Amino acid sequence: MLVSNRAYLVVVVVAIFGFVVAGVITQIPSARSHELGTRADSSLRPQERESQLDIVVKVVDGENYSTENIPLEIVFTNVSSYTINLLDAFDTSNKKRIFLTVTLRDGHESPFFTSGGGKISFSKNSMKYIELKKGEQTSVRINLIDYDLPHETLKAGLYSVLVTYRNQYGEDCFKGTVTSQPLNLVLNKF
Amino acid sequence: MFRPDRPIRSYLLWLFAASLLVVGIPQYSNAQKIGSFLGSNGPDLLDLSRKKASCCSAAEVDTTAFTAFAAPEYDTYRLTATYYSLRGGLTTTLMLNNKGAQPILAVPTFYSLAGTRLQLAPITVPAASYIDVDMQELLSEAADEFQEGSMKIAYEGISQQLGAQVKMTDATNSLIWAEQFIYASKFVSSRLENLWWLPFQNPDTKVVVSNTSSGTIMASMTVEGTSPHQSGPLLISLAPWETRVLDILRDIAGRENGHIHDKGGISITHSGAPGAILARMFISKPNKGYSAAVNFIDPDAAASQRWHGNGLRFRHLNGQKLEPVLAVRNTGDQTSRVKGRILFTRLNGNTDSINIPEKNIAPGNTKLIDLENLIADIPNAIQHGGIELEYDTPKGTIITSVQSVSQNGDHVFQVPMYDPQNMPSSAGGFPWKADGDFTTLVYIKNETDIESKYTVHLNFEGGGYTLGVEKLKANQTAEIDFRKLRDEQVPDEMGNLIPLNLDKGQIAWSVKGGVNKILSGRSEQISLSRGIASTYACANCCADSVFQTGILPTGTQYTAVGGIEQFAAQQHDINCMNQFQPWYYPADVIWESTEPPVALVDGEGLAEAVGTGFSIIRASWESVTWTNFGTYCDPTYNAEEEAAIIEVVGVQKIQYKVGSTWTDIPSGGLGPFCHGTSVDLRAVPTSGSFPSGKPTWGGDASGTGAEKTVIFSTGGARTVSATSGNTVLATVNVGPANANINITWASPVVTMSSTTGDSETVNKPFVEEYSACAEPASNLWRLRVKKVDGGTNMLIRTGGSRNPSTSPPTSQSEAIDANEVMNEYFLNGRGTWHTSAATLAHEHHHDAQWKCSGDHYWPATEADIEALTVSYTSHNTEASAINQMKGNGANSRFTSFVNTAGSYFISLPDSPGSRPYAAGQLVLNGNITAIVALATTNGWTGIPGVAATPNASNPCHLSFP
Repeated sequence: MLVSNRAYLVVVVVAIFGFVVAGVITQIPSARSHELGTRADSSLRPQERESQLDIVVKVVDGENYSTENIPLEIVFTNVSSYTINLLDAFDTSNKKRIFLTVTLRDGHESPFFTSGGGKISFSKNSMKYIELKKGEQTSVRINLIDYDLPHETLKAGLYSVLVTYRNQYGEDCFKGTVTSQPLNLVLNKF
Repeated sequence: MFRPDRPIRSYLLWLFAASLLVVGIPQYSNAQKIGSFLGSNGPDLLDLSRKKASCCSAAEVDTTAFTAFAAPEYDTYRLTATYYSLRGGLTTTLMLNNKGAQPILAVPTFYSLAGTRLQLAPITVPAASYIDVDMQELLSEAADEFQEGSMKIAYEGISQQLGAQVKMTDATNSLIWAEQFIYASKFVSSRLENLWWLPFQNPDTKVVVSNTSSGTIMASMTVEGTSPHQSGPLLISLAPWETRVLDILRDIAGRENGHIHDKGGISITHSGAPGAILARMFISKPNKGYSAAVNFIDPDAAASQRWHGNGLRFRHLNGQKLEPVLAVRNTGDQTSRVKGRILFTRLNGNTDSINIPEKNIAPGNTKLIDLENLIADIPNAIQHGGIELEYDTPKGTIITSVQSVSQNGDHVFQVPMYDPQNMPSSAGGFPWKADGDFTTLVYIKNETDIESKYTVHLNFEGGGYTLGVEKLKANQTAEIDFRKLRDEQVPDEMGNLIPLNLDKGQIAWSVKGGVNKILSGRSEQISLSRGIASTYACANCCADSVFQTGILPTGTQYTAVGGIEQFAAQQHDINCMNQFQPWYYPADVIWESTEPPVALVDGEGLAEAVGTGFSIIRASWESVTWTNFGTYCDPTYNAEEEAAIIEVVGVQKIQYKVGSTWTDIPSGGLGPFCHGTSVDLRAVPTSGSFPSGKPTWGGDASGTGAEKTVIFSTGGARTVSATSGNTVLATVNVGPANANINITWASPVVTMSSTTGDSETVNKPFVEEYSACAEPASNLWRLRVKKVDGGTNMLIRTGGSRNPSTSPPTSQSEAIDANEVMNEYFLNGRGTWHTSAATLAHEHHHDAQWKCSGDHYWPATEADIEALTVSYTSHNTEASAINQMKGNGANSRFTSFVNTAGSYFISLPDSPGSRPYAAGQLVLNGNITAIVALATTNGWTGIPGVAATPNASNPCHLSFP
């Protein structure tokens, strides 16, 4: 294909302009206090920032997967070109269910179970953040059994799982929704 | 059953008849009234005899190939009447009655009193009918001498096929003289006897003596019953075919100025062959309307010492009393003891009799026996009966006359008396005349002491009517009035009616069974308005033979268990002259069912279906074929058998239509079907097809017929049933009417913790349940949301704060601090003074947010989910269909709903200053107010009151994307 040098120049200029505009719109986080916000912010809305954060669901090596034990590792990766903060709210099992929603699909990729999501009332000054530089990762482990999974009726077989991370809390941190790609699992009967 | 040995011949005879119609049968008309005048020296009659093979058409020739055992003999037969007269204003009618299956050419020959012969062209008498010929018209161009004389009828055909009667009627005076033509063969001697009874004095009487032969005959006549007595026998010479009309007093007794007794008799001996001389006595009393034609009999022809008669009238047709009189004359030379009985049938069907006391009759004497007193005890409703006499002198020495005369003399009902041992065949055919007020009655009498059977039919152009097989008890007389049956439109046993406009036909009767000459029959024509009555009897050569049999109804009869089917054997006969009779039901039929578990049949052919399957219903009975050997008839008994099939059809199963395919209903029933769906159902018969009106549907279906469309508009386990003897049930599960399903929200599950930390509200996973309903006509399963359960779990942590409710301030400074801290909650979050109630209010606000989020997105989701369908035929259970539809989109749509609702849910602000905090603040305001009150009580000052009352309403206050 023959493309003129002038054309290449136009593409580069447009790309640079778009990058700058995108950075303004997505409010690239700056170094701010990591304390709880103390002002009302009724206009705060979840923001889609998939371009900042990526999550991947992984199996946990060495685990025996069954209908009674489905441990997963959720890996958060900063896929942006700058540092982002991630609300560090994965410590308790209940909190996992607030920020992570899991969807289990059967072998025909039909989702049949979705669990998770909620609200949390942080006590004063209890919010903490994980700082992720460009390309840095952090991970958290969950077990689908903790998500009210009807494991009693679960049959052994092929499944896939998706995890959605939602956050509306904190300041100068990632807020919004990001969903993983499905992870295929083969569950044995317990 | 078709009987080739009988019908083919008959068919060919019909062909012959048809061919005559084609080529043109000479019909009686004015132009043909006069034939050739032949001189007195000419032959007696035209030689009509022909060979069998030449008498008929080519088709008839073919009949010679059949040596049918019942083939009637074709020959030339002659009938003779003593006297006719056209004088004195008489209306004279020649009745010709053809009982055969083919037309007859009747050749009339008239003889003047002097014996001059006049032969006219043949008169066509159509098959199985009679005609009345006006003799005035017939002889209108003949010479005056033929106004009076004797006559003969010749025909070619079968013995007894033609009957004839001449009737002379004086309409002005209600007088009638009827004479039935006779076959000369019935005479065995040259002696004739009669007797008379005159109900009125000084009647007009004359005796007619006719020479029916071609030779001169000398006759001697003796009369008893005149005053003075006859001086001596009258000797007369009768030229060939000469007829003498004699006055009893003047010509026979030789006492012109004498007196005729009310009873008497005349004896004639002659020099001719038996039957060469015929005589008849004519009596009239014009001013009384009385008339009688008294016949002469050959006493030597008697075969027994008995005389029987039928149709003895006890009362007039219009209820008027009659005077029945029995006259008996002893023609022998010794005293005879005569006795008898009058037989009648009571209204209850029982037969009864009244004895006629024994009388001694001296030789030559004539006695009257008044029957009036004897019949006085017979109930008025009984109109007629029979009469039987017996005597102890040699056969033929007693002759009798029986007649019933109305008191005004206008009606005379003569009862012909006959020798029961000398009867013709018990079968005959009579003209049926019912025009004007004419009534033709038929009397059939059982001459034996055992029950007998007969058939009687009315044949007419275009149809037939039958009374079928009737029974006669011993010596019983039956009266049949077809006119009454016509007028009352009484259907015969085959359902036929006599057309109301029918006034002419032919009555046919015959004994049933293999014994002949046991029944006697005659007819009586009466006109009340004309005051005339005449009797007629004409026997057939043999009794009727079976021609064809069958069974009704034909074909396979479908019925259900419990159904009743009436079967009937049927038969139709042919008389000895190949005339067909109508179909009728034979008697003494034995019925049998080959499969009693399927059908039972009683002795009347009434079958009851008792089980599914088919059975042959078999009818067997005995019929008779009569063979005519000329002088006697011989019966052949046939074992008839006819069969019909009864198929008892039950309901094998019920099917329903899926798309265009009929499908069995599984044992567990159908469904669940969608509420209000229309389902085509079909009852499958166990075999064949359902009888009319079956099956009957029940349950949610109604009506009859094999197929039924039902709309199931009531939910639950419904039933339909199809009944055809048995009942087959099918259960149809019908889903509830489709309605919007609301999410059922459970109360939050609250966990209280005294630990320090964050409180939270976590969405519980939705639990959804589906059902599916089918629309088999569309071959679809539809998904239905049965229920959706939702809710939240709450964790309430109370650690790290002092609860002013349970641990109130104890000083003014604590009170100030408590209220300042709690007033800051809305904007800054939880502080050191807080209550679990406020935290609960906060978290309950989240619960409310989750509910309104879900409630908002759910209806559209439900609609999307319930739009899903899968093939009905691909999934034979509801569970299978549900699983398929969950995988086909229901789960995806539900997950999408959860995610969408979840995204909206977390978009609702939850930072200090937002509505969840407002909800908690409103609770804390109560605590603040309480502390203010406490301070007032304690005298503390500077305590802040409620700072703000924020808005905590409408948890889903943000617009939905």
